[in-house]
Amino acid sequence: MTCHREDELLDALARGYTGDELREHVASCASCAELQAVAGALLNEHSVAIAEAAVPSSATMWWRLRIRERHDAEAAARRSLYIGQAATLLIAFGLVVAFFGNDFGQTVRALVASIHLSTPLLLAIATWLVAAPVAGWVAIRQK
Amino acid sequence: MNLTFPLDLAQLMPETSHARDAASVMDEEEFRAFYERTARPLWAYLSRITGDRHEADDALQEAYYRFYRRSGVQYESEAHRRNSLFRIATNIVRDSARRAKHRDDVPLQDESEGSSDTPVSATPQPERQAEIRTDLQRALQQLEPVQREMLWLAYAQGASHEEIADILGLRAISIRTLLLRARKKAARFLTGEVRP
Repeated sequence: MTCHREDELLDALARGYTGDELREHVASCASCAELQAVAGALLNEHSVAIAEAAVPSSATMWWRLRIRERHDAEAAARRSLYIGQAATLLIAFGLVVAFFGNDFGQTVRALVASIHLSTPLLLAIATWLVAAPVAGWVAIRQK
Repeated sequence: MNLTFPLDLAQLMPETSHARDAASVMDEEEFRAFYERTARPLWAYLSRITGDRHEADDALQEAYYRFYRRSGVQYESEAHRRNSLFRIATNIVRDSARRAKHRDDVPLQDESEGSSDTPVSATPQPERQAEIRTDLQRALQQLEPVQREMLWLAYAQGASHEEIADILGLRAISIRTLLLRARKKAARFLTGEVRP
């Protein structure tokens, strides 16, 4: 249930002055009393919030937006570049397969089979695989 | 590097700036004037519906960025443009609350003694004003987010039902009922009928 004088009361609260007659009405009207309790408190809180709002200046905000827009544009460009590179690689791979067909698989298998791994070579590779991370770790620690 | 404002970024990034200026409706001057008119009310809205100043700061910046990114949009009026900004900000807060809810449920502060049984007068005393503020903040935290948003827009900012519907993404026809329900609930907390 609402009262027909609510708009009038809201105007009065916004102006910061409720006359005697309206005050008497509010005292006898549950709906208006409720409105005054809520709207009055919110209007007061609004004034406090506006006063304490420490927002950046418009120049600062504009500058931040442009910088962020630039970063986003760069990120989007990078993403497009990666997608382009991936697409190029896929197309190149597809072309190779299309040109060589079944021969491509045989060529790759023949190439792998032609690599003869000797024991000293395997040892060298194993040593490098172990030593490289350790060397990297030492270098980082020293830095 | 010594930066001074206003900084003309067109000199730093001529291509993007040129492309943007061609498509954009809102140039720097217009944006800044709009920001001057809306930043404080928007911050007030955000800080009171979130109950957190830092969250309000972040949401404010994010809202203006998203608004700026779509500044090619034509607005019918200043009110429409302003409502659009508030709608963006409201959605940011809602998304953030949804994400936070997934992380954890934040308990409500304060168990201190409540409020008076007497209705507030139009111009209360300073001590009583401070009391009312505490009561209001506590009451707002007890409401549904959409009720907080609605009450603030209606009574603190004086927005019409159509504007509230536009900002909150609700049907204008349902605002009256929803607002009345939110008001009753808030009043029960404010008058001490219900303790938070």
